[in-house]
Amino acid sequence: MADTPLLKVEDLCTHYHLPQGTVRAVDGASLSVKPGQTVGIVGESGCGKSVMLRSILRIVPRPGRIESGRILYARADGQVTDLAALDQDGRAARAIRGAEISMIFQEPMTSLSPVHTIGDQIGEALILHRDLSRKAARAETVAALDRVAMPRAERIVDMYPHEISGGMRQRAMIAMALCCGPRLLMADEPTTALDVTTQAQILALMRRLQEEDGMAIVFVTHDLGVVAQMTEFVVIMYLGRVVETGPVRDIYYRPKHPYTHALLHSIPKLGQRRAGARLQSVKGGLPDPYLTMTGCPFAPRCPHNDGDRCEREAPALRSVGAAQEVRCHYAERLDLQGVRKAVTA
Amino acid sequence: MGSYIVRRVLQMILVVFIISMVAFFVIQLPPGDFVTSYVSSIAAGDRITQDAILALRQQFGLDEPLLMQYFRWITNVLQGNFGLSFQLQRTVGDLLAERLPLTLAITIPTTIFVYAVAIPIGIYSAVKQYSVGDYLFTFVGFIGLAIPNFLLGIVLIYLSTRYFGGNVGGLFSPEFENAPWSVARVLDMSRNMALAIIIIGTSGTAATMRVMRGMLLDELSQAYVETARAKGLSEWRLIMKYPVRVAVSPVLSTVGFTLPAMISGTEITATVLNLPTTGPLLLNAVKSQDMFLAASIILILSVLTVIGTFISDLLLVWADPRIRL
Repeated sequence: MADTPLLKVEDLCTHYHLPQGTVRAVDGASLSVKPGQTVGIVGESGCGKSVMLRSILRIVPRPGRIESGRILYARADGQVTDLAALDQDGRAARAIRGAEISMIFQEPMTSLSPVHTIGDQIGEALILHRDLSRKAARAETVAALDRVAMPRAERIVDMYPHEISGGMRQRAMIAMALCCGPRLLMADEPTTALDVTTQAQILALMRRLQEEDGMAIVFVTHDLGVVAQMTEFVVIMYLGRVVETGPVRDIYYRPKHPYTHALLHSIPKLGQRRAGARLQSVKGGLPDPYLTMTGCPFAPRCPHNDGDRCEREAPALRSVGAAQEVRCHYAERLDLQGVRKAVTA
Repeated sequence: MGSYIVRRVLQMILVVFIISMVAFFVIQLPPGDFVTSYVSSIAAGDRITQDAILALRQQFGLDEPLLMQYFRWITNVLQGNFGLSFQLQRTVGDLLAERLPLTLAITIPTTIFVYAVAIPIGIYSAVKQYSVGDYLFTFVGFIGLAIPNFLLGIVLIYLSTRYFGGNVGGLFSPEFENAPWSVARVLDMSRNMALAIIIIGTSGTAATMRVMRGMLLDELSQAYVETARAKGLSEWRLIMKYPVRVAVSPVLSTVGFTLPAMISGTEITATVLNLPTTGPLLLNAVKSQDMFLAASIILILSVLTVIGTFISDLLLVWADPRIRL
């Protein structure tokens, strides 16, 4: 039972057709989320992680389009729906969006309408999906705000976003996402815009709510610390593709892909400067997004590039170890260092 | 809110007072006065003696110092007496009573026409950016902006008389010109008025349409729109509720300026269309230095502007809770 995935994304391609060319924002990415599981998606800015989430929710902004692939979602009644095949604005997609699958966005400052009250914006989802009256929706909204530990929920409900702090706005966003009892919550860097103490509070809140509701969470971030704290399973994305997946421990302690390795070692560590080690950044920048690549997409930045096979042949995602998958020709041979060893050194 | 309104009303009174003064003095700025221009207009045949000119000046009170003239005029205005039009030899009050209602009868529907047409088209153009419809409206909009209203008036009058048997200008067909008010006369007037509204409103519609499109395009890409979409709202519903609501407030805030602009900005068009509004009256009054008439019209326009600005400020406060009083 626990093994039937709640969400299974297969070879998803979401492309942006622009006058300058085609941007392959998501280019054959796969992902699997079990009920109640927390999956972290990690990657640099522009690697397609946000577009992936928007593809699942079917809110990819124009001119982006899902070109191919399947997004299989197991509904509460056990029926499996291919979200990718639904009409983006159709009734079927909208019935799932916001009710069964919901999303928290990165910027609590701009993600709420400045001219509508908090209560209006949260209650709207309740009226839409649960057919509540205005009055009932308001009572539910106050309850939802209470659940996210919003102080003075009874008053906040009638306030405008500009009247409350960033952390409170993100709480309101979470209340909005959770008010209809979703089975899958997607969080797009929900704490990036917040200061560190607020970030810790919000993360703790999300964990608590997940324990209470048992929903699955897909957590997008570029912060590996947050991933370690929040998730069980990690997906590393690079240029619209999944380059490595695995349980969080395996990824951190035994990375198999050079990109994962580079990401792990670009985290600043205390005492590093005294030890004479320099902060390592991932070499080079992201290539021109309009370029179509032959060979491994990471090859131009990879220190292990063999100059031959890596440039010619795109590696496939393949299993290494029990639950780990990696997209590298030389995954087994590289013997990459995980984080623990680096810290003790 | 209450104290804000009181404060604003007091400010408005002060502003109107200052404008009345400026208006009165500016009209006096050109050399000479009404008598000079009156004399030069009739000088061709009759010879007017210096005594007669002096007598005229005395009769109109033009021999007094400017400040005195102003204070006499403004005290009379406060008592509802706007003075005498030298040229037309009628009281300004009478003239205004005749012209203002018709002016408002054209201006108010024109304003409604402008917003009722421009806002939906602007929304459509932004939501369906770069669609055939958007290009079409953009094209029509630029033509509307580029063609002066009076020229458009001439073209439309030509078309309407040539092909639809309409009459040339005016607010009434000849047979109704001096007829008493009746249903038929009102119908006749609305038919002529529709033409006037389209002509006067075109450039305003074109401009408002572009502003609405631009404002909404900015808002459509905002994060809160995506939040609303993620909630599962249907596309049109969420667009109308969120970005349109935000984008429309700056457009609403221009309502206040439209009112006086329509009244004073249409002199030439109204002259071409032969509309009995205050526009041509003001134009003539300024030309012949008919100072009480001109100053009174300007005073009324400024009162309208000030009130209009006040209304649009209130509209903005209502539309955007971030604006605090």
